[in-house]
Amino acid sequence: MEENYSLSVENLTKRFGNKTVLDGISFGVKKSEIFGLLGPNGAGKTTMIRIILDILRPDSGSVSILGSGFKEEIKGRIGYLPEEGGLYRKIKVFECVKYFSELKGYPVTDSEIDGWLKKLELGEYRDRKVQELSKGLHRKLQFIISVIHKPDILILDEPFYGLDPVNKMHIESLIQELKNGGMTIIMSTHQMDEVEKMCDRILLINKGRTVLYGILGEIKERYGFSIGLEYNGRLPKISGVSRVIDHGNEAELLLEKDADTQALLKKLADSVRIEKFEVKTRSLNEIFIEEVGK
Amino acid sequence: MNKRNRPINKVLTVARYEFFNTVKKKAFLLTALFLPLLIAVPIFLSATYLPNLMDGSGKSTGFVDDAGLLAASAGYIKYPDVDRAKEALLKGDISSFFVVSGDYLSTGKVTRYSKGISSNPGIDAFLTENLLRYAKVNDSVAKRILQPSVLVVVSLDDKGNVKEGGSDITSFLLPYMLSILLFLSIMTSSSYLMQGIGEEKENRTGEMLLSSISADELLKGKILGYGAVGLLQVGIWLTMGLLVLSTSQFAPLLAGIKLTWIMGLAVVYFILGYALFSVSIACASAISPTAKEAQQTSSIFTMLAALPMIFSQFIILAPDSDIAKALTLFPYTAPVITMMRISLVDVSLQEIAASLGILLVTIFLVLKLAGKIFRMGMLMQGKRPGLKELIGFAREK
Repeated sequence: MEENYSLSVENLTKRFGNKTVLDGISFGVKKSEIFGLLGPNGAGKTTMIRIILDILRPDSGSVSILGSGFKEEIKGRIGYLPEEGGLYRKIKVFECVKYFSELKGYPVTDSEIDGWLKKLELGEYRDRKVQELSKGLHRKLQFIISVIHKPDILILDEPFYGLDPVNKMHIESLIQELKNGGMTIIMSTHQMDEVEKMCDRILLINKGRTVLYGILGEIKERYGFSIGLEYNGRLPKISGVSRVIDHGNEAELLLEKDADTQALLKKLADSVRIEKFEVKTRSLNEIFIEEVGK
Repeated sequence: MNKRNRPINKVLTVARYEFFNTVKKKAFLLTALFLPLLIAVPIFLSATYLPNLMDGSGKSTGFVDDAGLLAASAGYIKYPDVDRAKEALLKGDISSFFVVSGDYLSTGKVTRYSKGISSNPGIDAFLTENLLRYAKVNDSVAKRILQPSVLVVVSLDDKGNVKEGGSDITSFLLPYMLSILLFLSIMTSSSYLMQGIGEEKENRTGEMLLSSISADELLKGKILGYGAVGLLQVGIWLTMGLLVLSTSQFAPLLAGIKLTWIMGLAVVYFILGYALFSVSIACASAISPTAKEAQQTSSIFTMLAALPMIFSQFIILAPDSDIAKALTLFPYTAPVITMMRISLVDVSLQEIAASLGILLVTIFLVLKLAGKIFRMGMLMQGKRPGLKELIGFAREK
């Protein structure tokens, strides 16, 4: 693995009873990048994250974090936003942030906590109980707890879960800000549009095995192009198209390698009324569906 | 990235959080302060006022002496006949009266009159005093008849030397009370621990916590924090109990209590007993999906904690029996049973050492397993693991 990796995972295997949850996974996350950890439900993402955090131990393989094997004090240099679960409900918001930041092993000042609460528009809830927060506010509070101790590596599991579009955009820009500040970010999400927007590199796992790994742009190029079509009529069978995702008036035509888009356009124009015809690289969503659906 | 300052001790952070968070709860305040008050106040009131209420609020007792044996004395007023005595009773001058029949010496017949329910435990003593005077028994003999003994008990050890540790009653009471306190504090601390972990399971806080702190540290912090809660609660109860006792007729007993090695041993047994129960209950709670189920899963340990109380009658009757000795060695009953037995018989040093040794080894083994079971249990949601899964947890690296 390269030297500038903040995190590197080598040949990781984890079994629960007879079930192999992770099967020889290897990957590295570079310093100050946003790395997408992708996979369908049950692919092994949460197990992977738990192993990185030393909550679970692998059966074989190794994890190197910030240049060394796992040591307990490294937990203080990692921030974690879990997908579910939570926080103590009956304590005040401020106390909650304070306690969790202390658990990371290093003191955080009260003004730092107040600063973050204000930044995420939670200032007015400072002395309210956590149970009084809405789902979105609760998520923002969890986000603060994951970053308050200024970690070197931040692991975000479904960071936009429960957020409205405004708050989603807010968190997005904060993640970018943290990346620009030098933080390494691992993001696990099912929202492929977010991954496309934010991630530099990705790892797609399915049934515990690596399906795709590398720079997002390169992966997308490897999968060729598709045609975004808006039409009226009935789509004909067309050569050069490997798969059609048809929604009625809109369709996504996944192209085979070396397909002739001009010939395709002509053929389509003979059969249906075309409202829109757009040649584009394939979306990560399509790639995900194709790979996971195999 | 972070300017790392002085690291914080995570175990103490958890302990402090659990302690202050629990003692601030209404449930704690109610249990620690109001529960003993609820028990102590009626006892105090009844001990102070009931005798007066029972015999008519401190009023004198009347009597009619048809046998010609009795003389009036403090608290006892003589009436010439039943009608006069009745009149005084109805007017409220006396609380009750009794009539000593003419053939009293041969029959012992005494008839008592009162309004409603009342008792008068002093009648016998009053009659005895008068009978002694009637029989012209000399004063010193009469005094001994009224109080045959002023008991001084000296306990000897196996070599015939006088044992230290206060009067006989205190040397029995002290370890016995300590064993009860031990039981109460273990139960109290463990129940708070169980409740705390149950709430964390319901809130799904486990993953967030374990991403910041190791399961071992978390477990140790909780055990320390809730242990301190239990000690505080028992401390409050003990202080309140001593305050009530010091104002009661049992006050002289307190003066007889001396600090001995038994108290030191009680502290050692408390620490070890609490450690064993709390670790066991923490694991049982961690593998239960809700606080309610945590209570059910932990009931096996609360039953084990109650075992010495169930056996207490038997232990008092046969403190040196094989069962008593076996319970001294069984780690879950050792702390309370040993203290109980020490209050009754001489428990050999070898027995105490063996009991402490087994307890320590068990704690070591349980702690080793507990870290893994606790870590995996805290991550599980929605169901309780089966035996196979628990074995799997124990095998985790």
